[in-house]
Amino acid sequence: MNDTTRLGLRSRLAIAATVTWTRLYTALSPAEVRRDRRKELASDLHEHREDLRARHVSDTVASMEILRRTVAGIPDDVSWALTTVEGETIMLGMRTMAVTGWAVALVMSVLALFMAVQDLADGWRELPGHWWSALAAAGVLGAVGGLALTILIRRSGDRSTGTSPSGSR
Amino acid sequence: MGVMPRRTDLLPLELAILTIAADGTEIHGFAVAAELRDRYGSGLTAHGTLYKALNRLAGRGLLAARWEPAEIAEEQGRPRRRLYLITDAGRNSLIRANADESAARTVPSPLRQRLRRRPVTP
Repeated sequence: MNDTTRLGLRSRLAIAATVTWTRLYTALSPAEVRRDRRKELASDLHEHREDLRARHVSDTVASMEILRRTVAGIPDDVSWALTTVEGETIMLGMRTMAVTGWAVALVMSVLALFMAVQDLADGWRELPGHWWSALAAAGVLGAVGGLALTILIRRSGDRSTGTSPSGSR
Repeated sequence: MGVMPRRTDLLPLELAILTIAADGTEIHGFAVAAELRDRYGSGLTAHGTLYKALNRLAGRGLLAARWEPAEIAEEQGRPRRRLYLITDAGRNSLIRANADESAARTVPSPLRQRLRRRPVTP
């Protein structure tokens, strides 16, 4: 076996990137499904490595081939992952994001108010650089995100319990 | 470069996988990708695309999946393979798909085009 048949640093990095990506997109899947997909990918990468060695390809070609298979499969990985994630996990994620949005809105609003008051007390001397306006903008963004997610969660809840948003019919 | 078989009910990749599995031997994911490359002259199928298709075929009962015994993998010093075997349902699906494909080919294409262009009379 000469040097070109051995997998070099580039190929090892490509394999590491594939393993990391697999860990990421399977993270929210149920334990058994997650374990099976990761084991199947580990087996695939091993077989692929053997195939690359047998074909005597250079390290660069090998790493490109591994990365191409990973990158080209990302849309299918994501769609597969979404079908395996349980509804409860999605709802939990949405609730966490909604609470985070509201928390950001609250903290930023308080800070913006505090700084605006201080600015006002200083006689509004530093007109061009009002930090509080940037904080207020972040607060508004947080509030908008939080509100949108809250509405989405409430609608999902209404749909799953079979009640209309008005609750009368 | 060859042309992958096509079918309406099954995706072309799924049909190609069933065609490969049709000889009745158990195959693992990478072996499918390598066979597709050798048979159809394509590159190795992307991980996500390949395993999603295998998963869907197994979910539909067209392939049966099992993990090979750990001892075999240990003996050969490699990770365990997930093996796929075509089922009777998979074989029937493949036969139906091939029959549909043959039937579609028996209609001459100019006639098919004329039929498509023909106005609908009440």
